[in-house]
Amino acid sequence: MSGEVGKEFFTTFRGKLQELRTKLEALSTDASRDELTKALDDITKETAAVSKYLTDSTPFLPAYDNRSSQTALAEFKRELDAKRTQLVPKKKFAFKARQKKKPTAAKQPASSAPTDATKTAAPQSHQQAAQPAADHSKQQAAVEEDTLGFKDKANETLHLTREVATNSDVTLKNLENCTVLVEGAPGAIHASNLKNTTICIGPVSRSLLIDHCDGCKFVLACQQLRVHNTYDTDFYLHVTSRAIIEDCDRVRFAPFNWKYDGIEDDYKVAGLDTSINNWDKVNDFKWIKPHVPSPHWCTIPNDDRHDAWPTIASLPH
Amino acid sequence: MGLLTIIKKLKMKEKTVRILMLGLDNAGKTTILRKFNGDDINTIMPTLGFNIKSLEHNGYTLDFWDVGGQKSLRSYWRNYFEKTDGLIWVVDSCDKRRLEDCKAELQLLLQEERLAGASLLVFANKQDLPGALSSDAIREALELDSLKGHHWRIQSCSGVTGDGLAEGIDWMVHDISCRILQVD
Repeated sequence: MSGEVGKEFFTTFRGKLQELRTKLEALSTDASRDELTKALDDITKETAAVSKYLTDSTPFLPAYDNRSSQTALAEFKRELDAKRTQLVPKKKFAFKARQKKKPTAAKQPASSAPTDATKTAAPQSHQQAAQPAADHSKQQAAVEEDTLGFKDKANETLHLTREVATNSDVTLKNLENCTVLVEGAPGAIHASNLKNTTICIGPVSRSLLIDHCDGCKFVLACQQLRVHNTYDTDFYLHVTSRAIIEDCDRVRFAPFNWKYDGIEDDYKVAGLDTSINNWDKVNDFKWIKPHVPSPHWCTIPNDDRHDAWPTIASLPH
Repeated sequence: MGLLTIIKKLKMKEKTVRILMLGLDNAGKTTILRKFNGDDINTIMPTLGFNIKSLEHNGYTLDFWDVGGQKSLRSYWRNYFEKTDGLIWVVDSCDKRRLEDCKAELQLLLQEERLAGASLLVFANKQDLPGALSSDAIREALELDSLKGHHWRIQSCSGVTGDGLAEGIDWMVHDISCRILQVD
């Protein structure tokens, strides 16, 4: 069965790939960025079609043909990627400071005029040639930078207002001796590497993830809370489903007690039920003995509870 | 070919596919499963153990195994590999800090022999949150293009709004049925 089908597949597959390769090689930097992007997108689309054709034909192909075709296709995709990096280099990522309206210096000028593109094309492609090795670490840095929140700060009072925070994903990272106030109803919070920092956050519609914190105080309301690798930290918590800890020790819990103007509205936006609070039902993933309580957490005794948390309105202007 | 044909025919009669959902904790696995099944998602708590859900979809019975993603549970993932037809890998598109972890766990998983034939669907979840990485950025970060030996697809989705879930699962069911349920 496979002989005839296999041969037909092989001719079509190779022919199509050759055709795409010719198209790809014909592209040059003389064209404008928009034209190039479009041409490359077309080729990418057609490559996807060829890829689908190959996947669909897989059941009829002998293992060797299948493998060699996969290799040929992967090889072409690499060429396509290389060409793309060479012709239309990615715009550099820049810090989007949504809060402070500073101009972003690192942004590459969008080349609108074709003449502009020709001028810059030569040095760019030169610069790109040396890039691939460093590409990966750069990529990692780039994906980390484009976020709302605070990082690498010490001894500061930081805040986000309702207008900025509501529905957004807020990231807090590498803070020491800070006070962070987030009013509004953020969509999600990711906090990591915080030391001796007080964090007050308005109702979060979904989940909170906290990792590597030491000596902090968190005042927060959310649907789910996950705490990892955290020590000597107090939580004043409103959680509608459940809080969990993993690899934690000496963490303590008390009910949420932060008040600021408009928190009721934020609760509505977040959709959190104010009548349910499971702050004292903490699951410890590092303690799965049902009849012995986890030694890693406890509740905060009444007379040890703090409640005079600052609000944005109370900050000195 | 004899044995293979028999197995294929048996599988076709059942029309049952087994789907394993994995991913780091906080990725939204349980939310996706509940939303896809039309259940309430407001009461979901971090999964201690696993959830099983069997549902009918386009004439197939889909058996979903949703296993908790906390670090201390990941070593148990391998207990669920057997007879898996499709693997759904869920990514929290906002969790940029742990993308490296996410890639490492996925690659470890894909080396597993018992998952060798499984179709891979990557859900780039939480797309409804501003600041979420695009599915393209995640595809690059997880180096999906260098994957060999698995049929895969990445689908952007939101477990909260339900966007993209049906598309992803339709692809997966179609891919699995072409692979194992098909008769010549």
